Amino acid sequence: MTTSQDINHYHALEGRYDALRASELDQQLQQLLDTGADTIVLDLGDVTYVSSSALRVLLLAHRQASDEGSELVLTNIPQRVMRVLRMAGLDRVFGIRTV
Amino acid sequence: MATRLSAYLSLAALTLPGFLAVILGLVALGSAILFACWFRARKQYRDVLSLTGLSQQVLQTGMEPTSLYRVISAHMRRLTPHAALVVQIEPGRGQSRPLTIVEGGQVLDDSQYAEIGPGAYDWLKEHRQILVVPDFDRSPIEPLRLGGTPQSGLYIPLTVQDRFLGAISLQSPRRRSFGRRQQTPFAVSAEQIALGLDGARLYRKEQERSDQLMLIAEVSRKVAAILDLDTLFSDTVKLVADILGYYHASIFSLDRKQRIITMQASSNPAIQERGITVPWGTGLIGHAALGQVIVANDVRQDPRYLAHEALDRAAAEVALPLMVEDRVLGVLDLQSDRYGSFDEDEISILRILADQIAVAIEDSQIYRAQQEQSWVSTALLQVAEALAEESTLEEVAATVSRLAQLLTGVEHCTLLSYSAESDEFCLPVSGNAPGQPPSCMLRYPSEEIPALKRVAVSGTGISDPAALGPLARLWGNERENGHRMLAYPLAPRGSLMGVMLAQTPNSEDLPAPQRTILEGIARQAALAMDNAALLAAQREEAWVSTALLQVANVIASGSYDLDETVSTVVRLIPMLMGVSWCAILVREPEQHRYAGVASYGLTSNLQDLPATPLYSYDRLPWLDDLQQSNEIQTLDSPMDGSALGLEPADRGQIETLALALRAHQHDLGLLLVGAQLAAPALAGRRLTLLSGIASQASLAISATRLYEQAVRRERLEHEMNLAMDIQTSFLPECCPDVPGWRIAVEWRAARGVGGDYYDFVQLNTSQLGVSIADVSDKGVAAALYMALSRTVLRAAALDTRGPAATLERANRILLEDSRSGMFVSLVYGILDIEQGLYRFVRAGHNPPLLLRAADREILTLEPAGIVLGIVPDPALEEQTVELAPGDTLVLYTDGVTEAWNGDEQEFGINRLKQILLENCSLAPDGLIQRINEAVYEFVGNLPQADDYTMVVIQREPES
Repeated sequence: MTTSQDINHYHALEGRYDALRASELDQQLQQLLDTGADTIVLDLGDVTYVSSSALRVLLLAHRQASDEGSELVLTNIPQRVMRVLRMAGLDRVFGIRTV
Repeated sequence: MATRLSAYLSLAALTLPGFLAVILGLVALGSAILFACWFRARKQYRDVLSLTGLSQQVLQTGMEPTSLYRVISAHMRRLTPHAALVVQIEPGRGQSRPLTIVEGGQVLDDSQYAEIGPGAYDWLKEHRQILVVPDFDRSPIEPLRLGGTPQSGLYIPLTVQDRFLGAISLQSPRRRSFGRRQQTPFAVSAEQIALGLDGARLYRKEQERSDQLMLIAEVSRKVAAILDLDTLFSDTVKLVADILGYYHASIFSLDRKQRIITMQASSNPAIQERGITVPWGTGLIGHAALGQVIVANDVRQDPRYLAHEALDRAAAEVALPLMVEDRVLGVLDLQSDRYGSFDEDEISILRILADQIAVAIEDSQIYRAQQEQSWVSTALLQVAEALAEESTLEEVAATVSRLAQLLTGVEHCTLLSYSAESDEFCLPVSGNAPGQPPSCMLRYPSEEIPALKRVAVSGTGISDPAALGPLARLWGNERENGHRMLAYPLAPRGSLMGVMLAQTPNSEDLPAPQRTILEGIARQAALAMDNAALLAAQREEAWVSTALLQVANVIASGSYDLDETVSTVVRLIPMLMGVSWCAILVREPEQHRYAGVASYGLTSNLQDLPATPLYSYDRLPWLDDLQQSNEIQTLDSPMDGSALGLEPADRGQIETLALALRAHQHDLGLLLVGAQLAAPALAGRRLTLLSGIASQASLAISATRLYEQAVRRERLEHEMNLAMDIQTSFLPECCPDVPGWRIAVEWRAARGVGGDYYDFVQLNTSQLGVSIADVSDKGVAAALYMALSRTVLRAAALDTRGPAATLERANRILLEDSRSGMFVSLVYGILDIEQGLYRFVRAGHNPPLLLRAADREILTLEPAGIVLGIVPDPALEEQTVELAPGDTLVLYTDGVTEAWNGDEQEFGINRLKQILLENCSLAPDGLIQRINEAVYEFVGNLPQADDYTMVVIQREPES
């Protein structure tokens, strides 16, 4: 883990994250976490769907980031995804950055 | 006379006494005459007898001087006394001195007594008459002074039929010793002596001729017996010089092409040693070579004569063409140390000798040609036999090299094989393992040696070392330009297989028979090469088949274990192909990478490493390029093993090849192979074999993977079935029977085991706990979490008062085991059966819908709340709704509203509401059926990722 400060890692997700793609998302996020960035910014602008499986992955990553002293931030969340987050009450869990 | 006698007789007859007297007188006279006649006749008879004997006696002397003197002297003494007798014989051709015999029996020194008498001999030769010198003092003729002083002389010419043979002189110390009357007997004697001499000379000549013929016959006989041409030449000149007694004899042969005449043998060892070459048409020999006998009886007079310092005594020379029919084979040259030695007789005899020699030469040449032919045949037979035993190109090359040197005397001979594929010539090395193509010690691209390619086409030899380019260094003697290089194309069936190169030992062309043999060897070599190639091809084919069979067997007999399969393949390839190293990278498309699973021949092999090396093809895109290639690719650094950290144990120049492993259109990975550049080229059948092995490996890897997948799927299915059984056992067997209420449920798991569940808990007689939940994720883990959360919820529900308190409690329990990151969204509420109230909380779940039958409207119930299992305080908000008779409460999971049609469209909450509104009069099961139909119509056959659950509760309408 890097000791340097204020490293932002920006990553854009795209497409439909249903249960079948959850493990793929998991690997992507794991790689991002492995970079040791202070802040990981996930751009969900091009995400069309987030399943509960995908949400779980996001939550896990969020928790791991918190545990490691960094932060996972969601940004550019489409309305459709936002609705899901709100429905699950997770809009209060994730750090959400408005653009 | 008769008339006169008859006249006398008639006269006598007139007077009888006179007649008688006459008769008597006549008788007396007649008697006297008769006596005188008898006496003369008797003397003449004696003289005739003596003279007849004389010619015989002279003849019998055979020209031998002493005997000749005795005969002539004895005869002359009988005729007349004399003081000195001198006989001088005209010299024959080829004789330089007259034969002079003097009284006293001695043949004296010719310088002193050159003639019978100064002036006399020439006079006699001119006049052919007897000359009497009565007194020398009064005569211009000088006597021959032999002690005394001769006073008179008699000179008699010796002639036969106008031919002057010589002269005899008699000298007397007295004047007038020889009277004119004595001339007749001398003349007759001279005639007899001359006849005798002529006879003797003829006889002698015949004798000589016969002797010479005998000698020639002897020479011819000996010459004819000699079959070897060199021996023939040297023996002939010796025989001719020794037996025929010439000063020098030599034989020349002709080279018409070079237009030179070369001495083959000389009777003089010094000349034999040094040799003579005569330009065409010069000298006596050069002229004779044109077909004419050239005679110079006095070489000083002949401008064509070419003097030789070793032959200073040469006086006469004859050059005889050695001819068979009209062909001149050579020249026989004879030299004599006597002028005028070669008269016509001699020449005609020598012509016979020349003809004999010519025939002998021809015979010898024919014999030699036959010998050579038979030798060539034998040699080629040996070559054929020797080559028939060789089965590899290297053996053929070695045998050809050895036999060519042995049989033709060439310094070097070697075979270069030719590859049309690479258009290069190759010097093969020996010692290849069977089944492997010959490797090249040296390679010569054909454009570097255009001359060699030309040879292949035209079949002509090369003699210019410059034209050979790098080949000139083949035998390390490029500086010696004297050698000739001969090249023969080897094209057994029309297509070029190689070239045979031979180097002559010196600048001379090879002799014809050796060239013939070399050509024969080349032909045989071509056939042997062809056979070897066919045999090698057969062997290789058999070997390839066997090798592939082995690979197939080994792979097939192994278990369906990927590691074992790839390990087997990487061990087999170096064994079968003689390559230095090989490695297998397996493609893992989900991770965008290749995994180095097995290798052989590396300093540290992949399977032995603590962690499998991974190569992302995002970073090494060429890996995936190779994967897409249908052909074997040769890799250049840095796109090779070193780029992947693969370090061959075998150091040296290594060529890396890559083959894509592919089966059933699936990209499985890469096979990398490294071969020493010096090793036999990976070409032709070996590449075919490599491809074959790669295909086998691909099939094996594919089969292994399919097997693994099948096993995994089977295991999963088994687990799933088990989990589903467990899960189904958790779920209520549909719906509790509640008076005044109609309840229906729909539950469908997306992948065997679902994350959704619903539950009914009878809290007391009037309260029914109703919940619907969706555990994050799917599958077994979700099912387990579902089981956990259901149990927790049930326990909490039974234990607590309100729905919020129940879920908060459940959340606390779930949070205690939050490592899985699992969470559950749910709606839990308590239905008051009698009052028709539903008091509920919504923990991050889809908002329930309340269908009000009276108003035909739908309420979306959306109190706040976070999913359980994530945060300590899910901030749940309780809400209570009242269900009037006919009202319907619809709980659902996102599997319903988020049913997906593959066109980026969800079924959606609005469609759901629409269906509910359209069918508000239907009972719950009817509603569910309509919703199912609508969803099914929307998504078609597309498999759904999410579980699909609905709980529909309707208060019975008042009838």
